[in-house]
Amino acid sequence: MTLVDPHALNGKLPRPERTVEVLVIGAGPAGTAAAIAAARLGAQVLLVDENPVSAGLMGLDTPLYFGGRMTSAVQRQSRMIEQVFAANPDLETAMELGVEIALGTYAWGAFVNGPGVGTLPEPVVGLADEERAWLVGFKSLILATGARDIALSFPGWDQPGVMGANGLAALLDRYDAFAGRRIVILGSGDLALDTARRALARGLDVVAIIEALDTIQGAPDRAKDLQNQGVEILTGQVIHRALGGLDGVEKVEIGPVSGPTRTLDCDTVCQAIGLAPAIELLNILGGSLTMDPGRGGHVPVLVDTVKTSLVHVYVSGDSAGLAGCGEAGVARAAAQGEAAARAALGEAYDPVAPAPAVDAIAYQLAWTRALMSVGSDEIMVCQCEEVTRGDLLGVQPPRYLDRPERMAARDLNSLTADGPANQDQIKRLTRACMGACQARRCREQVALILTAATQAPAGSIPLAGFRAPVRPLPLKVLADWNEAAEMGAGWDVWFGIPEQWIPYRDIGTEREAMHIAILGGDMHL
Amino acid sequence: MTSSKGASVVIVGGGVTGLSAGWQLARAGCDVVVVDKGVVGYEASSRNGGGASHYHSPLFAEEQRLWPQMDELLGYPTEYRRERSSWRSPRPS
Repeated sequence: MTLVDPHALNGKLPRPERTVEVLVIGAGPAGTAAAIAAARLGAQVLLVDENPVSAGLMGLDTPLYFGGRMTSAVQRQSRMIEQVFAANPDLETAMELGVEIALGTYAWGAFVNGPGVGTLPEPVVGLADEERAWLVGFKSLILATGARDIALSFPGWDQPGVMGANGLAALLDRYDAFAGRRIVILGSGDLALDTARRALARGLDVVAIIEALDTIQGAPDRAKDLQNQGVEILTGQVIHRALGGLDGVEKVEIGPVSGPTRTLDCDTVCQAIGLAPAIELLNILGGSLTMDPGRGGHVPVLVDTVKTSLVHVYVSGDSAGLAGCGEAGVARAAAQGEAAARAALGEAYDPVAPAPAVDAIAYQLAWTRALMSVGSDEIMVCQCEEVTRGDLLGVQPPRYLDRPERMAARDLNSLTADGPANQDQIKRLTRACMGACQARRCREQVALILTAATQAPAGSIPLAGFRAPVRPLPLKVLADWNEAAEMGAGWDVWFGIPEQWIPYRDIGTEREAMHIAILGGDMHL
Repeated sequence: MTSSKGASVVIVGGGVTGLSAGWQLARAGCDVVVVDKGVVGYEASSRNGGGASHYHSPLFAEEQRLWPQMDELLGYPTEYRRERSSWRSPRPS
């Protein structure tokens, strides 16, 4: 006898609207090169990019840490589509080769059958724009989703004008909509030096580059070049405080950890301490990840430089492991994109040498430790959920709840006596990283603070998992997708218990019959 | 992880059911080890309305007795509310 669960979804999910041969997510250097290479090999290609993102998402620092420093130009998305298209001349090449390009389109999830998922008619990516969400099937998927900014907290960081290096690069070069003038840059690695170069090229003032360590971290010739242009690079110093008004940052106090400090006038603090490869979609797909500080942190396990642990899923560019800054980084990302396209289509390709390894986590930890030495426990780490440094180190419940006496006895060290800190567990206990920005401003720094506070080995805190949707989209967009009738038929009640909607207090009273009558007897939703 | 320390009871699964059983045993003086493949309370226990909390469940009466005590027993604010939201039900007049 075969028992079939009538509510099981197997075979009931509708097929996606369409299936493409090669689906590329991300139209940066890697994704654009992948799309062009795949089209040249004769493949049908859909290239998806979320830029221009809505002004609302930008305000949530999604997908990059924009820090509220965009001009009002970003409010006009139709105009911004032209701007984003023009900012990447290779998109025109791709279009001429027949690549279908979907700008302003978010990839909020990606799913293949595997352990725990057997219901999909084919591998799919979940897409959305401002109006609706839909699924697209794929034969091959190339993830070229880039990297996110890593944010660290310091007094006054939770105001407009504090932003990330990739957010600034996007506002300068992709959107042409940066609202700042005078920038202080945190960090002196190649990312920071490249950020300074980019800002100077746009005629902006780079007030200073601040380095917590005692030496400049980036390429000496590039640092020298900036210094020759009048940029001050201050080593052994950190930001003590950002001060400002309603429009955000107006000045910063900087100096050695132990003081004294001096004040610099600026309207923007750009955090260029690190980037995190954007691995959300691969994590949701179930692809293997590993912690590799030399490649930027949590990164895909790579096979032959562009293949993932999942058949038909490929990665390239920063999302495969940081490709490096400047022209060399762009060239490497493009070569990876082309290799990914060739691999996806079964063609021979030359493996691409990775960028020179830099221990990103050790550097981020050094900055974290320095910043934890200035400011108090009252500094907000998770801005969305208002979790302070003290709340995090004390593993305290969210502020809207009472804090029982017994909670004071608990802290990170009593918790980690049983084993290494797990960020997902800390999230459940404190709400850190649970907010609307989907932890874009605090995911990495919570891991770094947990590492520093528990003296755990660098990189040992497990990755806090991602869940779809990986963009904070309105429910009206996500909810509105076509559910097959066979699926709807399963929406009756749990375990076939028809009375579950009756409030406890009415059970066993005459009101119970009234509920049943109102709900129509079968309780079907 | 290896450990030479034994236990009278080993509980496999650190969700709400396994943890509750382990907590009750430990409170009664029994030495217990709870093992989980991942993080405690991470999977269905972090997102499930709770089949056991339904009044058709044989555990319903006990669950109703324990819930209001949870904050005090655990020393942690569980955000328990007696009235969960009701669905399309009339408000008492």
